Amino acid sequence: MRQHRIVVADDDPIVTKFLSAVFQDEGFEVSVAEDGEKALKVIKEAKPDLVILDLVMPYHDGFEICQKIKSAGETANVPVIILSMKEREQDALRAFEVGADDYIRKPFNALELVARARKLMGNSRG
Amino acid sequence: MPTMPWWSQEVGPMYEFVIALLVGVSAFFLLLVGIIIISKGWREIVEARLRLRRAELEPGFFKYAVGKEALEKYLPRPIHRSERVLVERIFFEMGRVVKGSVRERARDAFEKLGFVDHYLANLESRRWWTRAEAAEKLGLMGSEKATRSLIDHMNDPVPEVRVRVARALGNIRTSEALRPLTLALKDPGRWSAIRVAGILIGAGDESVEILLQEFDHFPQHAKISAIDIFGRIRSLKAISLLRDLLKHQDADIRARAAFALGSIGDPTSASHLGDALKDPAWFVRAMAAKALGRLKEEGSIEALCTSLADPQWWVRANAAEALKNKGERGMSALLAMLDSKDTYAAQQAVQMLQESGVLDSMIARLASEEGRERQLALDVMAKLVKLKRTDLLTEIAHNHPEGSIRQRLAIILGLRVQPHPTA
Repeated sequence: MRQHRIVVADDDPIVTKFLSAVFQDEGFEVSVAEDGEKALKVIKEAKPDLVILDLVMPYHDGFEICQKIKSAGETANVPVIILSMKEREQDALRAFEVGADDYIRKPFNALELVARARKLMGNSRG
Repeated sequence: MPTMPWWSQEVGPMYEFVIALLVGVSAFFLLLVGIIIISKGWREIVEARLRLRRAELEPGFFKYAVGKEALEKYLPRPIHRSERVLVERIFFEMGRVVKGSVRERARDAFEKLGFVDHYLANLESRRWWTRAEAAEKLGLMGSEKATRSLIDHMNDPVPEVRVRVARALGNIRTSEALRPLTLALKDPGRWSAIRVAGILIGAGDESVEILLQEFDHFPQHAKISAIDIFGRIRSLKAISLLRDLLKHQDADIRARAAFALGSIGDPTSASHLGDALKDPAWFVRAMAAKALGRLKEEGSIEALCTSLADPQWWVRANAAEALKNKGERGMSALLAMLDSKDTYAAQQAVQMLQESGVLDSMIARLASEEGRERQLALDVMAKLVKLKRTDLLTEIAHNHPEGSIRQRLAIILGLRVQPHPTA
């Protein structure tokens, strides 16, 4: 059985490195992107089972990427978790409007994030 | 006599001096350039080594943070003394983006690796900047072990150290750490109430418990700060006290309590705030009206309509704005207020209907094909004429892009029908 693949897109290297270590330890395969353009490329290539997206990134923001993921036929069913510093209610609502499956604010609880990711991928381990 | 070539001519002492000066200056600059290159190269080497060590150690730290075993189990080798700065940096950066048990694990690591003891020793330094840095780091580590020493340093002679100590205690967030901060609200001469309040707000609900316990012992200015903190944190725990405070003898406290209840937004406070609309102090009434506008309920509409006739303009304005926020029922109440015998209240209603776009939609209905809709709009326009708001309508009668609307308004106002200016 193939490992579950996760794409983590965030311009903060500590987030991408931390989440890579955590999810790899949980048995997932992780690809990272540090800007919006790279995120779209990696998502297209990796065909992930889950995408974790920051909202503020160079080139394309998280809303735009989420919208593109959800409107493209082959990625429309890929669950997206938004992981953002933005605390405003409107940002969370907009994220759900563009198709996000979950919205988690930073600073985040890593164990909770792993549990939510697992749930979205169908309660299965990688 | 044949002239001698310049190199065999005898040189004077001035010439020698200039040459020596040039050689000296050139040598100095060469040396300087050499030092810069070497130091930059050295810095690059140190950075590269740090990056390598970081790449080697970081995954272990991250796994430790979400794991259950001791740190040593996750590291490829013991940490060297020279890597302390690196370890600190990794944990602080991680603490910036994660919370919960991960932060607790980081705090345990700081204690076990001796970082907390190191900064506790620095807190006793004679140099104030070392004490300030130690306080800040101890706060970032969130170590409860440091609480006692930090509390002792709340009396540090240097204000900068005191501020960082206060922030550190706010980060630790235990009741032992927060209690002295709540007490600092009593002493505005030594502590900036705004700064302390900011720290307590950051600590969230943990600080509410202690503020509630201490509230009765606070002087008036500290009570006011505490009420503001309850509102900013939007703490449900404080609702009962805030409702009681609406009957406090001091009007300033009553007004702040009303405002805080509005910020918390619990709709069950509506009846209490409705009573506060009858308060003898006008600014309490104004704050109560503002607060009611923030509650998602409709039970207060009638009381707010009454407040549109309040003798104070601020109360009237806040009541009208509150009605504007009450959805369709609030709008209907504002439309009904156009018939009010109280001119102030009716004018206030006009302003809010205008601001909320209801008047524009009424004007658009003048062109409706449905008789009832059109009649409703015509009634509203007639009321505006009665209220002498012809200024508003005349402008629309001249500028509206739809001819039928311009025509209807012109008839209502008794004007000659104007062609559209762009026509």
